[in-house]
Amino acid sequence: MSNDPIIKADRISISYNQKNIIRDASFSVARNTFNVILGPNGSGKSTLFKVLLGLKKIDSGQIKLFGDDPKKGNKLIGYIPQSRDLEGINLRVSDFILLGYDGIKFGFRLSRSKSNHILKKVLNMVDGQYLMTKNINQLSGGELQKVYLAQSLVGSPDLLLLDEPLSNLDIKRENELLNLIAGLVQKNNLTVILITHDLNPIYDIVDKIIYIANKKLASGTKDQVLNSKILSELYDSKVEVIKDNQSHKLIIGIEDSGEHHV
Amino acid sequence: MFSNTFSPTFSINLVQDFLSMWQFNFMRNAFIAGSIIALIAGIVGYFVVIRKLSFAAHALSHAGFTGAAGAVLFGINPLIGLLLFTSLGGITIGSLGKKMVNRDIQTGSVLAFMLGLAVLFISLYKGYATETYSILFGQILGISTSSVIISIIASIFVFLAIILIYRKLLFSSFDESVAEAKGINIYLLGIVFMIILAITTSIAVQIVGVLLIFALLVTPAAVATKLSNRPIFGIIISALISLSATIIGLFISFYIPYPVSFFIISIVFIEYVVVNIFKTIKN
Repeated sequence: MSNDPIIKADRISISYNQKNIIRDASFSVARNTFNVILGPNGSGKSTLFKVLLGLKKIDSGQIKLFGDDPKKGNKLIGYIPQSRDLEGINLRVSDFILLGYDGIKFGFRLSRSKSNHILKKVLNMVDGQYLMTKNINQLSGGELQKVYLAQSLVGSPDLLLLDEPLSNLDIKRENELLNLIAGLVQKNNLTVILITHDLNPIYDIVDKIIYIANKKLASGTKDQVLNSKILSELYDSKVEVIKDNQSHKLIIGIEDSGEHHV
Repeated sequence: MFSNTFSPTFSINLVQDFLSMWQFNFMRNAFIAGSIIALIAGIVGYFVVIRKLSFAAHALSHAGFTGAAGAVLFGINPLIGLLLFTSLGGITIGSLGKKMVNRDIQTGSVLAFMLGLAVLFISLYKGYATETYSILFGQILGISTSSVIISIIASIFVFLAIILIYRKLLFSSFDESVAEAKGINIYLLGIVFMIILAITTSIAVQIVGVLLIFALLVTPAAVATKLSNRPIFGIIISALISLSATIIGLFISFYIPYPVSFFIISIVFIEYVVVNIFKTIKN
């Protein structure tokens, strides 16, 4: 396996609705690592995912994904979007997951044996075999995220892009899902990039942080990014970082703006 | 539906009753066109419901009304006008909004403009208003042989198109963001489906009319989505509800002189209410 980074971005600028949201940002993501994207609302976290998915072009700079330009329908990527409108949808979990497997193909699915094998495999990977025949609209938040995760795994991807999968989950379900994702990274040589607002639950398992704020981006290990110097540069304002050595929790206070991550 | 001199009598032998209906050319046309159109409307209706496009179906039927009114004004087959205007309306609605959720405003704007045109066409038409009435409420018993042929060709086209894009359509309907990320052109697919819906609406208007289009395009599928969580079964159930209501409606209207569309919408609505009561009790 190559040691080249899966993603290499060099001085990229990205706009959203004709407004520049990320400027001259450089970062890389190594294989088989757990990465997290942090930043305030509207900072461009989800837009960066759109770039990686080939759904959005960058304004300038260069970004390579698996050595190529990002493209739509990249089979090496599994994706969980930030939100889905499944209200009132009466659909079996198995059908929902399999749409992720061959939903882009023309016509009907003729052979069921291969798709059933894939279905069982991905549900097994997320400990969700019992969900197969359930209705998608009857699942709890935690079960739903398991199903989404299973669907993102159907094409045996190398990279998972997970856009805020932890939102709306209680602490117990958060930990369950994170342990599951961390296990997938280890067992299946996956690379994960996860967007979140809350660093606490993932603090101990994350390898790299990509922090986006104020059109700027900083990346590196926890210690490299989550320090007063880097965050003050990102926010153009003095940021205080307090570390609790016992629980390894961080409190980041930003003067004037009142924004913080706990 | 019949003059006072003709009053068929109902017997217990349904086969005999059906054969006696079949002797009449207008009933044959109605059964053939009605059955095929009902099946197609039920199939397409499933996607209308899961894509939350019932407002678009409503708007397209009204665009069809404008097209039919224009066709009557210029002395051509109203079905041609229906097909032309619903297709134009469908392409316009589909083109103006990329995502399904963004289409309400575009749909409303197209609807208002089309109805404005309809008012103009009707005011210019100097003939009898019966044509307008049949477009509004349906007139399957008066369907011409040429309209039957056009309907069959249109239905085959829609059926083949649905088979071709079946999985892509399901995927983009249930899971639009991931479908787009996986490489489906949801913008183009949305326009293609609006054309399919436009054609289906045009031919369904002949049975139930512009104002009762929900009877075939929305309500059967709404019932089906409550009864099954498997898309393929949902589509079959939707098509069967639509078909059975049309056939039973035609059957009843042969003996009772009231509009077929009334019987069809009544049967579908009763099924809708019964299923909802059943589901509510079950839950």
